[in-house]
Amino acid sequence: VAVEMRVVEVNDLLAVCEAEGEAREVEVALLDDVREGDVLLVHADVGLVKL
Amino acid sequence: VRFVDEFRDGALGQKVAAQILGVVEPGRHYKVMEVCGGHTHSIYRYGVDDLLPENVELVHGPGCPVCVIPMGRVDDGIAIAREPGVIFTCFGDMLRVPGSNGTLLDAKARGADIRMVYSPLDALRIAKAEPDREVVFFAIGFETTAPSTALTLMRARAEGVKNFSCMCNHVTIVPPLRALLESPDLRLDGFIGPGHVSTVVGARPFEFIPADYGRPVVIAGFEPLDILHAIHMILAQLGEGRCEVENQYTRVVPYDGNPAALRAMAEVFALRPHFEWRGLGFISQSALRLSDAYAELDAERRFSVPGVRVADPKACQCGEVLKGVIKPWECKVFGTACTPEHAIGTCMVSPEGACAAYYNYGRFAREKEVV
Repeated sequence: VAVEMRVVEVNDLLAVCEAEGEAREVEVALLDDVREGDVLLVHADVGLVKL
Repeated sequence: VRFVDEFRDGALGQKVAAQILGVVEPGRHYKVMEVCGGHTHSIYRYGVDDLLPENVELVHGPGCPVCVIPMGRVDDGIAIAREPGVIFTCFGDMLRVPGSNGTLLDAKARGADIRMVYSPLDALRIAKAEPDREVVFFAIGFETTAPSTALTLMRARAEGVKNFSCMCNHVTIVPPLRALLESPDLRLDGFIGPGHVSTVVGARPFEFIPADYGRPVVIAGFEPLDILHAIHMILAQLGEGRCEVENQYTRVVPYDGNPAALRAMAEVFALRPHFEWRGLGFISQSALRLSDAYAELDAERRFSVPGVRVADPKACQCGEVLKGVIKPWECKVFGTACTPEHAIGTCMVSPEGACAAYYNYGRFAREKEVV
C-alpha cells in the first residue's frame, strides 16, 4: 500500500515526510526537485510520484 | 471530485452504480478481474461489489505480493535466519506466511533473530547500527516495492555497508497476467489494472492485453469511487466495441510510469529465467534476482539455502483463488481450519489477500444474504 505524505524537510536524496502525525525518512532520488510542502505518494519509504 | 471523502461518498457511488447499470447488456455475464490485492481489499472493505448488477462479477487476481510467495522460499528464508550471527528482516505480514515447517514468526519464537521492518531502508539502518552482525532483508513485492529495494542496495554499496544483503523475491505483474489469459480455466472480459504498480511501470506494459487478447484494461485508484468508475469504463468499452488501455487514476499514474525507478531496477536486478508462484506453479521470466553487478549483496550467494520446492498443503486452494477460479468462501478450509489467526494459505495472511479481505469484511454481508 502506498500512502500520501507531505515533505517537511529535504536533505539531499532523503526527505522527512509526515502523514497523520507520523514522520518517516523517505528516499526521494526517483523524483525531480522535491521541496518542503510537496505531497508525495510513498511506498516502502520511497517517493514514487509527486502529487 | 478532489478529496478523499468524496471518493468514498455513498451517494456518488450510487450514481456511478446507476451509470454501470446503464451500460450493461441484459443477459450477458461480465467477469472483470481486479489484478491488485489493494483493489480486492477496497472492494470488500467498502462493499463495492454490492453496488454492481448481478451479471457483473468481480474476479480476484494474483496481485497480492505476500500471497504468491511459495513455501520453499519461506523455508529458504528461515534457513538463512537460523545462521549464527544473522539478523533477518522482513515486512510484517511476511512473518506469518507458512513454510513447510512453520512461519518466520515460529522460527523467531524458536530463537532466530527475525525483525519486522517497514522498508529495506530500515533494514540497512539496522546493519549500520550492528556492524558485527549480518543483516539480511527478505525482499518481496511487485514493481511498486522493487524500486525501494533497488535504491537501498545502491545506497548500501555507495556507503560501503558490507554486512547487508538481500534475499530477492520480487515478482513482476505482466507474466502472471499473460498466464491467466492463456488459461483455459478462466474467461475474463476485462481488467482493473494495478494503480500503484503503474506509477512505476506506467500503462504501456498492459497494452498487450487489448492487442493480443482483445480485452480492455483500466488502471484504477484504490478508493471505492475509483473502482466503480473503472468498472464503468471497462463496461463502456465493451458496450462500444472498443478495447484499449485507459487510465482512470490520472491524478497519480503517468502513462510512462517513473523512468528513474525503472532505471534503478534495471541496474540492480536481472530477470530470473523462471520462478515459482504459490498456487500458480513456475512462470517464466516472472521474477527478479540481483544483477551480477550487485552479486556481493545477494544473500542467496552469501549463504547456503536449501532451494527445495515444497508442495502446498492439499487442503489449501490458494492457487485457485489467485487464478480467480474459485471465490474465497468456496475453498474447503475457508473460515474453519484457515482463518487470519491460523492461516493455512497465504491468501488468508495479508490484508490484501482475497481470503483475508473477504473474511474480515465480506462474509458478514454474505451470511446475511444466505440467511
